Amino acid sequence: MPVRVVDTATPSSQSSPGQDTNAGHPSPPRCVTWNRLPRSALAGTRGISFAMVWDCFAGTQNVSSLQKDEAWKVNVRIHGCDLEQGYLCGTMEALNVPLADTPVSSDLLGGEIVDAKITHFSLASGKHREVPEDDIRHWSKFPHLHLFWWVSINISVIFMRSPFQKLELKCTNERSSGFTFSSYELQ
Amino acid sequence: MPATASGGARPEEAAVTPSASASVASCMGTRPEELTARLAATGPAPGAGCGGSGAGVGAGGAEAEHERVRALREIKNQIIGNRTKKLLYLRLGAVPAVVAALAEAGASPAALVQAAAAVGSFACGVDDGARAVLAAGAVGHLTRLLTHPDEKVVDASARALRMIYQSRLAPKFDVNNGKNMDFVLSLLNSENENVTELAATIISHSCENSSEQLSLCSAGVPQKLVSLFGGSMNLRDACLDSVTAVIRNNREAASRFASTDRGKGFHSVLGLIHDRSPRTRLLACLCLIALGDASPCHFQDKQIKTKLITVLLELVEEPGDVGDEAPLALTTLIKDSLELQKQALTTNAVEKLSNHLLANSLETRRAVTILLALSELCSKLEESRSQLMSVEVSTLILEALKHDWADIRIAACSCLKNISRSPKVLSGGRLSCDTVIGPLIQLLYDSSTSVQVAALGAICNIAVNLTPRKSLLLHSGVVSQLVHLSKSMDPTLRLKSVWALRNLMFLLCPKDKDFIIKELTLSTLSSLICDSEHFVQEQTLALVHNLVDGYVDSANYVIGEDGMVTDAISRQLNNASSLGVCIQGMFVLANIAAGNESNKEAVMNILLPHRADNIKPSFVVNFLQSKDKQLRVATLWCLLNLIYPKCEASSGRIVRLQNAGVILQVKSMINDPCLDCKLRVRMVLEHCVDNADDCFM
Repeated sequence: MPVRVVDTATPSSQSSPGQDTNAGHPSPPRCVTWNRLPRSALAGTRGISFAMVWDCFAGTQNVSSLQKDEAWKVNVRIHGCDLEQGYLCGTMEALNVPLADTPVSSDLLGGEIVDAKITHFSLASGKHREVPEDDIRHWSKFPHLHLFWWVSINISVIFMRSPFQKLELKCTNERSSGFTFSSYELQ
Repeated sequence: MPATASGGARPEEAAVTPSASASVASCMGTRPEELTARLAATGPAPGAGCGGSGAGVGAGGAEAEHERVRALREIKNQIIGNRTKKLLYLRLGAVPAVVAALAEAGASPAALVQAAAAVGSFACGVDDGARAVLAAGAVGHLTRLLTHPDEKVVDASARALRMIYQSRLAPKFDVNNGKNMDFVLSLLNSENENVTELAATIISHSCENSSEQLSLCSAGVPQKLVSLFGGSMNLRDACLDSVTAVIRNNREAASRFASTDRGKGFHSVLGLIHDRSPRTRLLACLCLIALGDASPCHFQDKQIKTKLITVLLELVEEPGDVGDEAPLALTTLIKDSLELQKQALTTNAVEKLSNHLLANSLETRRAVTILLALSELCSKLEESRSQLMSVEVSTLILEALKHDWADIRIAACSCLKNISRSPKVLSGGRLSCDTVIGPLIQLLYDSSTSVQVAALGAICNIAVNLTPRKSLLLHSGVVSQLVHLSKSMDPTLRLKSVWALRNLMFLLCPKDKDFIIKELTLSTLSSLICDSEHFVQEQTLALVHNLVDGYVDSANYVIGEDGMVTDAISRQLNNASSLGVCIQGMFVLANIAAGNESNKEAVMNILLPHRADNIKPSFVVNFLQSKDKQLRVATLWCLLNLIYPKCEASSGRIVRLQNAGVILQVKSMINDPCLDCKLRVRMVLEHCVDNADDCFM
């Protein structure tokens, strides 16, 4: 499954989708489950929304600065995405990072999602000194943003505000015969 | 409102001060057996039953009456606040004799006062006592005595009735009956505070359904109750409790109360959240919370709600029932409200409650209510969960899991359940360690079903562990017990255990899936798919779709030789018993359809069975026409997998789907209002075209 993962340090320095294509390793044809609103199952039971889950993605992380340009392979696994709360989490493995202690560095990936409707978190919070108009103009540059839901078959871009990250995920499914679904539901 | 916070039965009971009767006791014998015998020996007062007032009682009669008063007084003094003595007198059969003293027309006011006080005391705090008092007909006699010319008799009777009506065993008072309503109104309009307080207690005890609440509103009862707020502290508390009972869960009653006289009643209650008495503050908070629940539009002021949070957090520090109940009131206030939970967090609610918990023993009711409040604070907010996990309380919660008291075990499970809603906790597998899992699994064997259900709630969430440490839970013995509970007679236990297995199955490797299925067996799985409760069916189908996720071989579990599982799924989908069942069933079929050609054919045969009578349309078309977008999405995904490009027989399947009218239905959905559906529809139609091109080439 060719996937791209791009990480930029600041909003102003991010690249637009389509750059930095890197091929990753194939992964099983698992994909998105769905999101469901809270509902009561039985008296005394409260369901809360369940998360979408993707399998592994792979790609390259590029870091550009005045001093150096570095790139290393990364594997990203998105564990959960709570659309109601605008929260996404997962794990990221970076392989052979220069100056790292171990060949594989793992870290928890988690943060607030900037979504197309700016429902939950936008950059208009004041933290980043943007004004809403700038914010809308800025985010509307990314036509695939609204495809957030459809990550399984499209190029999708997930923007996260805190910490700022842009995940660009492209999944293809050429060698499989369909998509399967897996889900969990919290109580 | 629990009886404990509704006027204070025990202090009130103690208000009837024991009289000094040492001199009598020294010469007459005061053992319960002797007193009961003496009371019985005094018999009916002379002149009883002939309607006399006792004026003609002779010297002998006067002595007997005096003796009876002394016996009644002594019994009353012994039982007040003494549960053991009450039970002893109950065994000796003293209650009918005491109640009989109320019935005598010739009884002196002194005897009536003592008998009424004793009856009230028997009814207070001991269910058997209340039962005996009611069985002896005390309510009727005491009610009659409310019109007695002697004010002391009226006071004592009203107090006794109040204690009786504070018992859950007391009969309900149907205020929809015109006579009863007139009686309650007459009590409310009395000049005697004991009597008006009795009216408030009767209303709190009896007001249960909507029509009773509206009848009381129409009679102007809430306004009358508010007008009594200026009385004694006990009266004010009883009235507050009554107002809460009248408006609870009744939008119209709450709305009328909040808007009558430009919200005078509402503002009066609001003023009482600053009252000097902690109990009054608590009752005022509870009244406002009930108002907000019943009619949110009349209680939108965020500042007031914030104030309530502050007041309730302060009340947690109060001793006794008030401090015990305050966390429960806070729980009710913030329940399901993200905004109020955030507000509570900014007032350091987690820290304050945690400190109280650490300062108190786990043996107390307060510990239970505080844990429940902390649990609610963690139900939505990640920050609250982090705070709770970071303080010493998390150790205390684990201790509570092993506590002897079931209530505290349940509260601790509730905390763990809500903490484990955290994506961070799940991603990090922070609760997947022996110290948490061990005690929780032990609770699955608990003798109390409520504890088992609570433990299952926590295990359900912890089972969604996204780290390699999932195997720790998997091989801890939990699977066999979950399988055992999935066969329980209790539907909630079945639901929650299957739910936990479903979450445990999520993203498992084939070897671990095999482990679960060997424990569960395909035959149990088939039975659970056809369970009598559709909630259980739904979770079982979700378990199956997690089972057949990701690996082609896993589909063999469900389309094995005898087709037991697929038959069960097919039956449920054809019955279309509930929406959730249909959605999960379609995701199972979608997952199977992602497999090889034989898997896809198996799904086709479920969707479009080869039948001689092809009259009945396939359920697929109905599902595509469903108003529920999730069902449409699931069905479209299943179709997509069936006609996936470059699969050998896709074109044949497309033809079958076309002949059954399925593709025509998909075409009609090209502008589906749900974007997700719209995209899948386009993909299905594109695949149809691609397959046609491939065939042509």
